[in-house]
Amino acid sequence: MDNRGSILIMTLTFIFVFSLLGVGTIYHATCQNEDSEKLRASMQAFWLADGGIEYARRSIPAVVNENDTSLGQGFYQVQSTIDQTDVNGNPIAFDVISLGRVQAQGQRRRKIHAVIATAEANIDKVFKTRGPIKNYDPPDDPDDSGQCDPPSSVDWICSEVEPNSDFSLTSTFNMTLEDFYNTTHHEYEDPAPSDIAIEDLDDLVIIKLVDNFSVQLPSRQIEGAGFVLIDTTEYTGEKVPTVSIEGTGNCPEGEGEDCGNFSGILYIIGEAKIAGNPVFRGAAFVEGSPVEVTPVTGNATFRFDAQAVDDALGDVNNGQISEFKIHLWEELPC
Amino acid sequence: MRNTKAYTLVEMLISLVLGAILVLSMGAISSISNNSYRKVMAQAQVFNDIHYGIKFLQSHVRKASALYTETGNGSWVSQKLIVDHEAFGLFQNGAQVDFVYLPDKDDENQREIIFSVSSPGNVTLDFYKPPAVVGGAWPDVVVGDELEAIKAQLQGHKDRIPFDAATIIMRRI
Repeated sequence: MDNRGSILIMTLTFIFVFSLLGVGTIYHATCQNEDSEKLRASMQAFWLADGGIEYARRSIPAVVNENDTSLGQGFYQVQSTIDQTDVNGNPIAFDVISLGRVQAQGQRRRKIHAVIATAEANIDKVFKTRGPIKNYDPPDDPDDSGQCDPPSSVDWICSEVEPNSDFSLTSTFNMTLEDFYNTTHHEYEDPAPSDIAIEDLDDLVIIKLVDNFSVQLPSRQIEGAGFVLIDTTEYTGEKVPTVSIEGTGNCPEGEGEDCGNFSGILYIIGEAKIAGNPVFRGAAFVEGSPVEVTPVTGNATFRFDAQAVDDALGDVNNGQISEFKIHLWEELPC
Repeated sequence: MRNTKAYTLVEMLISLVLGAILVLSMGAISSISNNSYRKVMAQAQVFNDIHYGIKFLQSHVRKASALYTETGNGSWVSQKLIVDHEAFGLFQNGAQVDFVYLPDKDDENQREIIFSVSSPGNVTLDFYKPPAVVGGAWPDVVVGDELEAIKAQLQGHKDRIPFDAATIIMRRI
């Protein structure tokens, strides 16, 4: 048999196979490098897109429409639109789309969608309590005839009252108690009603109970709408700390928005009792811990007032951009 | 009949040369593969460090009550970004430059290193304050300005790996 030259064929075969391996390895290495470049560019694009969201938030209340704004090695484009407005037409929620892009092995893109809003859209009740309200039959009570039976002769719209509700300061306003303390300029500790400056009550006021187990809001007529926060978290006494909402207001409905003892937001971290004839407009919250029954007597008038709530929230935020929080943040496919 | 039981000298020489080419090729392939792996790992390390650093800076700036810059004297090679009682910036330590976090802004001995490069010319960290109007320019931060937002840009190269991470961060309070 003539097998001359077979070694050459075998060697060439080996060379061919190893050449394939070599080309494959180099191709693999090149791909790894490209992937690494893409990863780097993708990370940069992410930070650009995230920066666009921050830019839109910073620009509130203005809407932004930035196209191909240069930042670092790439660009971001961000558009915000008004998603929701309050009763006065002021924007309270923005929808934001931000796209970051960086050129590397083609174009790397990352897109983020966010909803930036204030908390005020959630407030639509005149009276919310964590516990029950004494003698109050809610309209949807299965043992009841479907009638709303306000206690005594209290004047409120039943659908605007919500006992046994699950809420907190943070879930309602997106602000912690510490945030409120950082914001207020009017802080009282264990005050008598006469100690509270009447002109403070159209602004953010924090009343802290440490030794006193009760506080009564002034029954004088207050102009404007304010935000009163009662804080009993550092109360050291044995009795359950209680806020009395009392008054001698005699203000028939429709006599002007400033009519009444207090308008705005009243938030009580503690318990409350309602007596006398207070006229209250806005939204009140009773966050008892432990939760107690809220007694209601007298001839109180409670009216939900979106305008007063809006004004009170303005007092809290005082024009700060920080009133707007990111409610939704999600990355979208490009 | 011709004797074919032994290789000729020429066949042996050709085999040796081809064998040597094969061995060298395999070595080169192995070297390329190793270098590629090392480069990818080094890039991943750099990008991870930067990603972590920006996220760390973002989380602190967002919850800051006070945000401003101070001139970076001495070993500082960038402005110091003061975030409440903490600080961020580029700090030179010998030939090395570190992107550092100071839990106490006045105590440089307690600095924590987020990211390092081998020489001062290899990295910059710049802060810009927000534009006065929507769509306006981002001016350089003036020392002592109370800031509500910053544009931060960390760029340079480490071990011949270029990086350029830029973003906007806003206080939440």
